[in-house]
Amino acid sequence: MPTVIKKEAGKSPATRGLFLFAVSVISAVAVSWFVGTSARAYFLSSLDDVDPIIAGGELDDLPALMRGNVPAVTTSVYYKEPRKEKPPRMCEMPKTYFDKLDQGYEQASGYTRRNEYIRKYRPRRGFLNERELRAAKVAWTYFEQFTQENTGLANSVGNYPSTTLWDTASYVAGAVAAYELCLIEKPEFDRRMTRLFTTIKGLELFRGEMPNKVYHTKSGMKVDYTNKAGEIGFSALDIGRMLVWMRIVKNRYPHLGNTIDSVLLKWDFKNIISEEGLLFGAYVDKETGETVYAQEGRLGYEEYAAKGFALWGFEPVLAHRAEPFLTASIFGIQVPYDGRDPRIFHSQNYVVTESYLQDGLELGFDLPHDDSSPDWISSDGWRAEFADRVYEVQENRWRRTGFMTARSEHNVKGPPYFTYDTIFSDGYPWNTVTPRGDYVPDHAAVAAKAALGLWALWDTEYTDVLYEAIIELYDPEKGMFEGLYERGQGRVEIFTANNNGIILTSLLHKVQGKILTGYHGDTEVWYTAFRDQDVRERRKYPDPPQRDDWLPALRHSIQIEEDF
Amino acid sequence: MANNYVKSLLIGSVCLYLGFSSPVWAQQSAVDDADSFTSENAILDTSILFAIGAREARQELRGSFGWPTFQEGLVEGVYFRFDPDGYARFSPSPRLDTDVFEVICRPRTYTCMGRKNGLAVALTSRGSLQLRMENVLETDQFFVSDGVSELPLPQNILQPLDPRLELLLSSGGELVVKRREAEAEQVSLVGFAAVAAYLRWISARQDYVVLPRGWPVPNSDTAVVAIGLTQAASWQSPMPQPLIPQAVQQGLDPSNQSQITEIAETSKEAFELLKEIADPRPVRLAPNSSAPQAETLLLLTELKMSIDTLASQLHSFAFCSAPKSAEVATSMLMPDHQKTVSNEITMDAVGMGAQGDASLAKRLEFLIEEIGLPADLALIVAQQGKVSELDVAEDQSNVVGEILSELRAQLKSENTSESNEVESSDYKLLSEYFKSVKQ
Repeated sequence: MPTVIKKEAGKSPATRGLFLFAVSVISAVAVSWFVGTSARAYFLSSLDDVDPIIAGGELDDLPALMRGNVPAVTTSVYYKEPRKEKPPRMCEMPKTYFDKLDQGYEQASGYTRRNEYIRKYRPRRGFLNERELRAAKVAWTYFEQFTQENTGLANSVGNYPSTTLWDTASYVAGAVAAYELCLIEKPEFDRRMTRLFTTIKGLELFRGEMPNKVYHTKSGMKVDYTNKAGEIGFSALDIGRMLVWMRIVKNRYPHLGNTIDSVLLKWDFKNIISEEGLLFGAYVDKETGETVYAQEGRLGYEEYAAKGFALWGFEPVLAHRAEPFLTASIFGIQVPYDGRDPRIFHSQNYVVTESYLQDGLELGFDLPHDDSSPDWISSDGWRAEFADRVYEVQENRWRRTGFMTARSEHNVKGPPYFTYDTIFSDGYPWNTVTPRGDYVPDHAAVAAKAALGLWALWDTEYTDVLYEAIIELYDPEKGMFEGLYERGQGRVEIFTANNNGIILTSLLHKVQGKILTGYHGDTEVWYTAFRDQDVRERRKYPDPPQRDDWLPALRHSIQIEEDF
Repeated sequence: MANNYVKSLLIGSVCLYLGFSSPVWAQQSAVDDADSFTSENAILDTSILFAIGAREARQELRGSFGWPTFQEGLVEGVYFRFDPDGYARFSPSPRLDTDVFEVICRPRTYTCMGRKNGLAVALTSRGSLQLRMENVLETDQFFVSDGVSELPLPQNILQPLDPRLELLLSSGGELVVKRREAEAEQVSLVGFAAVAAYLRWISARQDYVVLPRGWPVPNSDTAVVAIGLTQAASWQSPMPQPLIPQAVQQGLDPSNQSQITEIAETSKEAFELLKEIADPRPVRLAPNSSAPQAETLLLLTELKMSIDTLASQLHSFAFCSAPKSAEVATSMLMPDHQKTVSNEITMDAVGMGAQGDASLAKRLEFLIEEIGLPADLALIVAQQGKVSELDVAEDQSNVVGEILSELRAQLKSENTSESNEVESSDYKLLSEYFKSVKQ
């Protein structure tokens, strides 16, 4: 036994170490083999779990030929929320329609986590009363009086036979409101719209690109500012507003969709919107006769027009942003204005009510892809917040100085014929300037369209005062007057399409709320046409917008500059 | 019946006459329609600059009509902007909001008027400025005030302005109207000069010739190019084609005799004005003369130098200084032809001797300072007074003697026909009169 013990005890440590080393190596190789095999098996098995790229599916990089068939992604699709439906016409509404209307009164104002904004104020909602209905009828009288039968175009100003796309959009707005408020019936509405859009489709474009700035309403010919045959250029802002109303008409009245698509499919968008998403207008260089493209739009108008483009799939990312902007403190309110210095850019940075009103009335201060949020939430948050400031500063002026204030751009009778009656521009608060920049305080006025627009979107004591000042300011034969002079010179005795169109829109908003409704359908001719040609590439027609194409919802810090 | 017809015709004619010949303010009608934005109403090309530093800019039009361009700038201390139809504003403030002179034009004409508060100014058919003031009585008195003192203006202030009065008003200040010693109205004249120039510039179809001397006229090459562009028949600008180019390019319509006459008269008046301004006599020079001819300026400079020379010489004579040193000193400073005059004086001085120096100096001083004769004329007069007496410079005296004899012969021949002959003692030649002056 002791010998055995000796033998066992006689195994050398080196042998034992070798043994252990060999075991370790074998173990390591075995584990490596096992892990490698397992990992390979795992990864191979994972490959089977990857979503297969299915033609037309999300992962499929679709060829251009097929991209038009993909439905546009809106909030109703993405968040699976009910799409906003077109409300019934006023005469078809049940009497209890407004009893169950959700105005979100219990919601606290401010920004949400998605940068939506809940305003401190609520719009007026309800049926039109007798005075409002009479105002609507009178406003529609303007279009009955001043629409040219042979072209279907309405004059911009009274019987002067010229118009712009901005004012034509106002006519479309008037017609939609007249139909929805039961002032006209469908045959009349369809006749007018079909005639109008057929004419617009046939308009001679500015150098084959986009609609000229001005057209003669009797002949439909492109003209210059003196209404003589010629061409000026095109305005991205005017076209942007027209795009808003074409989208409204198309979404509300699908039977007019193809007509509208055919209009758009004649236009060439290659220069009007840049790669960065800025809007460009065009004009003719006087010396060389060549087309000059120049950035167009300042804070307020620029974003509104940008949304018009976005409603048709374009991506005006920079144009939709507020920057560069500054604020001026007026009566305690930080009024935002465009930060591009007029002395450098030679373009006035006027702050007026109009563009904010149009955004609120027509788009509900919502982003273009939002077709599902309730009216009391504004998904384009900063626009709603800025609009509230624009309202508040005007109310504060009234409270502190006694001047009724509802400022906008408006026409005047006699020279200078047009004024920017601003809250702030070119470094001055309450600056009333002509298109060439002369200060003309005598032309300051309570603009009828601004007053009624404020009344519709801000249900306050102050807008009641504005309402009383404006609601009977009409000529039954010609329409609503442009406004009421601030310095007591009486009415602004001129009649315009824009004024009457916006007044009708305001009254329609009271009945139906946000004018833009969701689109019914999977895709559109606008997205599918010319897929077999290079036309879409050359004219930069967009594809149906997807989630990644949405304009961002932002909020802005206050940037203080000067206290006025 | 016939009488009525004649009466109607007369009334019609008078109305027609008044309609075409009365000042602008009588013709100005309210422009109240968008129709005014027609190319026919464009009378100015805003690309032709009114003054150096001005620029043509695009109007920010949102609507469907309006003037597409305008011009803005700064001249004579006032900011201005004008449209193609001639409508303009002049103001010392860049916002064009205070102390504004506004110019409006009759549609489709070059007839314009400026206005500020109760003051209106327009061009007459002869090209003179004429003022009109509201609520002014015949007994009112007018003054120009510079804030410290008041200068009374003649009663014909409301008549077409003569050039000196226009210059006075252009100098700025305030036009004050007094009624029974009390101030009835006060209108700032800031911008008056610029408005006057603008009115004439429009009337002359944007021709720089009518602008005052010293006006900051832009480079002529640029102007020619600009005019050439607007003259082109294939002008593609969105801006309405103004009427000026045709007028400039084609010249005046020969059938329009009245227009030619008017311009001729205006030119004549302008020429007369220039002559007056060019007059070297110091008493005729307005302190704010804005348009002296270059030649006049040169002449004035030379005369001033002559006077300075004379003054220094007088000084040297008075103190019996050495004439040689004065000659050297002055000859170094004077131009050549002045040296000639100076030499003559020096020679005279040398010839006269010391005792004649003082009297010549006194006489020259008297002639220049008291009588107001120009220096060269005073010198001639003084010389003639010395010539015959001292009998120096023989050639010169011969010439003078010949002229005098000719004159005497002429006088004799003219008087031969008359029955009562005039003796030579009855009259005295001017040269002889001057001889007596020295006595």
